[in-house]
Amino acid sequence: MLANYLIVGAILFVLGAVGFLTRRNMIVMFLSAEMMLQGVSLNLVAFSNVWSNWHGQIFTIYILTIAAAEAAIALALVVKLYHRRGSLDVSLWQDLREPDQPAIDDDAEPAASVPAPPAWPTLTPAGVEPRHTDEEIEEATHV
Amino acid sequence: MSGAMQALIVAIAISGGLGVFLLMPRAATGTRPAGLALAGLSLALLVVAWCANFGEGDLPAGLVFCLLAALTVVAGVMTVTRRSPVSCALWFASVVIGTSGLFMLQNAQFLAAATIIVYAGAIIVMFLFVVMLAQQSGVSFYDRTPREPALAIISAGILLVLLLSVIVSTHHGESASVRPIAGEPSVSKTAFMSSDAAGQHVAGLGRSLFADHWLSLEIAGAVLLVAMVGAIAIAARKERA
Amino acid sequence: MSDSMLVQNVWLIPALPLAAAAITAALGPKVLRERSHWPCVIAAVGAALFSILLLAVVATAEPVADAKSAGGEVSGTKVVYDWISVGAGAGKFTAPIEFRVDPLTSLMLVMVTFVGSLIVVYSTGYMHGDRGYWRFFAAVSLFLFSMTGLVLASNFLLIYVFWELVGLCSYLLIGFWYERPSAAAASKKAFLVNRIGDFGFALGVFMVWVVFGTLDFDAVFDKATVRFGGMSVAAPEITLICLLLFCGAIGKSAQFPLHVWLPDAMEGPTPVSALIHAATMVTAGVYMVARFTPLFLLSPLATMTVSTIGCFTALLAALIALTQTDLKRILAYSTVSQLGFMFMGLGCGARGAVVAGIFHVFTHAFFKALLFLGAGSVMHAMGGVIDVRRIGGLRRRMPITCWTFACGAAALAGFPFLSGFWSKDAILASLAHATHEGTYAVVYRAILSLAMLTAGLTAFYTFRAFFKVFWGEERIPDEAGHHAHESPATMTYPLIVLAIFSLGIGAILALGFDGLTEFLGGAPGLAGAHEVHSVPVMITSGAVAIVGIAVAWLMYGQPSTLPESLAQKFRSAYELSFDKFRFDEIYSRFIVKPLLAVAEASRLADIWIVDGLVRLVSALPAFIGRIALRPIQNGLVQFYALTMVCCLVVLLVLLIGLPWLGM
Repeated sequence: MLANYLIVGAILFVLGAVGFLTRRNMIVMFLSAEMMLQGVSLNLVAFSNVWSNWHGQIFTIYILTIAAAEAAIALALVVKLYHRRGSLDVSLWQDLREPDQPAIDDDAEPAASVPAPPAWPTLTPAGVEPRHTDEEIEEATHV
Repeated sequence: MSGAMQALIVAIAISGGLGVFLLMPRAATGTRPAGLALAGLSLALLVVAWCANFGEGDLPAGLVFCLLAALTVVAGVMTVTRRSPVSCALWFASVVIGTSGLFMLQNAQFLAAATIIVYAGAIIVMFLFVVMLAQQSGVSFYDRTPREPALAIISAGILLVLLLSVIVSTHHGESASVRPIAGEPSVSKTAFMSSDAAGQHVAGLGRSLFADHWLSLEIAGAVLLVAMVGAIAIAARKERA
Repeated sequence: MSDSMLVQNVWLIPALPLAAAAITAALGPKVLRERSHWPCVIAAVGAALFSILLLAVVATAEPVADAKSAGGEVSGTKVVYDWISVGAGAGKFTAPIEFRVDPLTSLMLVMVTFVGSLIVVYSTGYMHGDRGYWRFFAAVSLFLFSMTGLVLASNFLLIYVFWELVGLCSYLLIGFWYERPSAAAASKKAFLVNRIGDFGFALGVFMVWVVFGTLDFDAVFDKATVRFGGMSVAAPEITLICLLLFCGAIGKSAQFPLHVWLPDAMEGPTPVSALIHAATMVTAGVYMVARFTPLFLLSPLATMTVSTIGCFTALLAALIALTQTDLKRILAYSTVSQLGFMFMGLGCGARGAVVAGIFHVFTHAFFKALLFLGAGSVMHAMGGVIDVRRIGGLRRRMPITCWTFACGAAALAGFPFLSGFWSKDAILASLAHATHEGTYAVVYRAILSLAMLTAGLTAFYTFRAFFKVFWGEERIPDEAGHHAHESPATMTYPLIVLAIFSLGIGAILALGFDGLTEFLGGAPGLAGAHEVHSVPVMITSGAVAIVGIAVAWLMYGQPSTLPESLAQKFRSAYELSFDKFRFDEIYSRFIVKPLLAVAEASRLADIWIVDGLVRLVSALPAFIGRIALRPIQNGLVQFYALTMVCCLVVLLVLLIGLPWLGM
C-alpha cells in the first residue's frame, strides 16, 4: 500500500518534469514545476504516515511555504519578461547563446490550427494572436 | 519483484509515454483519440499495479485510494497537455484536490486543508491573473507547439521505469500503517492517528513544529518576508517622468 | 727531448695567437680600433721567434735509437690537457690535447709563423682604414692558432679538430667583406667543398680507430708497421685508410675534383690569399700526407693515386692559368698547380720523395706569398683593379714591387739556381727514380713527362702575367686616382724580405739538401731517407723553364699580335681554358641542382606533412568544440534543463539499472 502512494508521487514528479521540459508557455512551465513539488510532498507525507512522526508533514509545510514564495518571485519575473518582449514564450530568450550559433526557431513546424472564433457579433474579432515580428518584439515595452 | 510486475511497469511507462506524446498540442490533428486511448490503457494498467500492491484488509481504503489517485494522475496528464494555459491552471487545481485527498487518507488533515488553501486558493489564482494580463486572446502560437517532446518523454519514461522498479521492489507489500521508529520517543498511536479530535492533530503538528523545528520556522518566516519584498521590488514599474 | 724546457712550453706557440685573437675580438671594436694589429703582430712575431728557437733545439738534438726505423727518431711530446679518456683496458679511448715536436713539425712551424708574421706586418698597411680592421686581425690570429695547432697535433682527433678550425678561419677571412655577395658566396663555397673532403678525412679517422684501436700517431705508426709491414701486396685496410685520409687533403689542398673553391677564394683580401691560400692552409694537406708517411708507404696503390691526382691537377690548373685575366686568379691556379706538384712528389713512394715534397712546400710558401703580396701591392696602387688587360707598364712607377715580383716569378718558374728550381728539381728527380722500379713504374713515367710539360707551362703563364702587368707601355685605370705610386714601407719591406728568401733559401737548402734530408729523417717514417739527385732531370727542367720564359717574352714582353692570333686559331680550346673547363657549371648542374631539389622537396614535406600534422592536432579540439560542444550553448533554459534530466537519467541507469539487469 505504501508503494502505491510512492508510485503516485513518482508519476506526478515525472509528469511535472515532462511538462517543464516541453511546454513553451512560462506559466505552464511553472505549473509543471509546482506539480513536481506536489509529488514530492505526497512522498513525504506517505513516509511520515508510515513512521508515525510529524517530520514528513512538517517538511511538507515548508515545501508549501517555499512554493508560495517561489511562485511570487517567479511570477514577478515572468511579468518583467513579458514587459520586455510582450510574450510569454520562453523560446524568445536566447541571448546567452554562443555568439556564432544561430538562433533556434521553434516555430519551424506549423502550429496546430485553432478553430475559428465563433461567429458571434463582436466588435473586433481579434482572432488568434499572430506571430510577433522581431521589430515588434524589440519595440514592445509594455502590455 | 516478479517479472510480471516488471513487465507491467514497463508497459505502464511505454503506453503512458506514448499517450502523453500524442496528447501534446501539435500541428497534426486526429492524434487526440489515439492519445486518449493510450493514456487510458496506461491508467488501467496502473490501477492493476495498485491492486497488486494492496495487502489484506486494505480494500475499502484501497477503493478510495484508487479513485483519488486516478483523479490525480488524470488531472496531471491534462495539466501538461492542454493547449490553453487557463485550462492547464484549472486542471492543476484538480491535481491539488486529488493530492489533498490523498493527504487526507494519510492522516495529514491539516496539510490537506493547507494545500487546498495555499495552492488552489492563492497560487493558482495568481497564475490566472498573470495569464489574463498577458494573454488575453487565450491560445497563442507558442502554446500550440511543444519543444522537443520526444527526447523529454523518452528520458522521463526511463526515469519513471527506474523509479517504479525501485519503489516496487523495496516496498512491495508493505502496509501503510504505523510503524514506530526505534529509539525515538514513541508517539502513541492514538495520539497520532486521532482524527476525531481535530484539535489534537493540529496541536500535535504545531507542537512538533515549534519544538523540534523552530529554527526552520524562523527561516521560513524570513523567506516569506523576503519573497514578498522581492516580488514587489522586481515587478514594480518604473515611474515615467 | 720531451723534458727540454722549450718543448715543455711548446703550447705557447698556439696559445699566443689564441690570446691575441681573444684580446682583439674583445677590445678591438671599442678600445683598440686603429691599433688592433698590435696583439696579432706581437703574437705572430713571438711565435716565430719561439719556433726558430725550437728549430735550433730540434736540429741539435740527438736522435733516439728506434728499433723500427733505421736512423732513430727525434721527437718530444707535451700533454697539455687530458681531454678525453673513457673506458679502460682494451676498449680504452683516449684523446688528450697533446703537442708533438719533431723535425717535420718544427720546419712547418717556422714556415707558418715566419711567413705569417711577415704577412701580418704587410696587412697593417694593406688593410689600413678598413671598417673591419679589428675583425681581420682577430680572424688572422685565430688562424695562426689553428694552423700551429694542426701542425703540433699528436693524435688523429686533435688534428681533425684543428683541420676544421682552419677551414672555419678560411671561411671567416674569405668572406671578410661579407657585404659583397660574391665574397659571401665564395666563402660558403670554400667551406662546403672543404667539408666534403673533411668527410672523407673523418671516415679515415674512424677507420684508423677501427683497425688500430688507438688514435695516437706514435701508437698507430708502430702498430701499422708491425701489422702491415713487409707485406708484398698491400692490405686493403691500410689502402682504404690512406685513400680516405687523402680525401681530406684533396679538399683542403684543392686537388681535382675539389679544386673549385680556391680560385673563388680570391674574393678575400690579398694578405688572406697570401697567407691562407698560398703558404699555409693549403699546405696542410701536404703536411698531413707527409706526417702519415709510415701509413702511406705501406700502400703503393695509395701513393700512386696521390701522385696521379696531383699530376692531373697540376696539368689542369696550368692549362686554365694560361688564359686567365685576373692576376690573383692566375696566382690561385698556379697555387693549385704547385700543390699538385707537391703531391706528385709525395706520391712517389720513397722517403726521399717525401722530403722533396716538404722542401717544395717550404720554398713555395716564400715565393708564392711574395707573388700574392706583390699582387696586393699592385691592387692597392691601382685602386682595386687587378685585371691584367687594364694595367700595364708599372715597372717605372712601382720598382720595388716589380723587381720583387720578378724574383718570385722566376722562382716559381723554376729559373735555374733559384729556390723553386731546387725544390721542383728534387720532385722531378724523385719521379724519375720512381720510374725505375715498382709495380706502377709505367704510371710514373707518364707522370714524369706530364710534370715536365707542366713546368714549362708554369714558366710561361707566370711570366705572361709579369710582362702584362709590369712591361710594355704604361696603362693606369681610372680607379687608381692618386694611389698610383709605390706602396708604403710596411708593405714593401716584407716584399723585400720574402724576395731575398725566395732567391736564397733554395740555394742554401739545396747545397745542404743532404742536411735537410738528414734533418727530416728524425720525423716518423722518414728515417733513412735517401736524397736523390739526377743531373739529366736538372738540365731538362732548367731548359724547360728558360724556354717557357722566352716564349712568354716573345708573346707578351714586346708588342705582338701572336696572343690574339693563337687565341683565334684555337678558339674552342681557348674558351675551354678560359671557362675553367666548366667545372663549376658541371658541378652546379649535376650536384648542386639535384641537392637543391631534394632540399625543396624536404621543405615542402615539412610544410605540408609535418606542419599539416601539427595543425591538424591543434585544429582538432577547435573542431570538436565547434561541432559538438558549442551548439549545446544555445541560451534556452529548457534545453539546459533537458540536458540535465537526460544526464540524470543516464547516471541513474548506470547506477541502478545496469546492476539490476545483471550487467
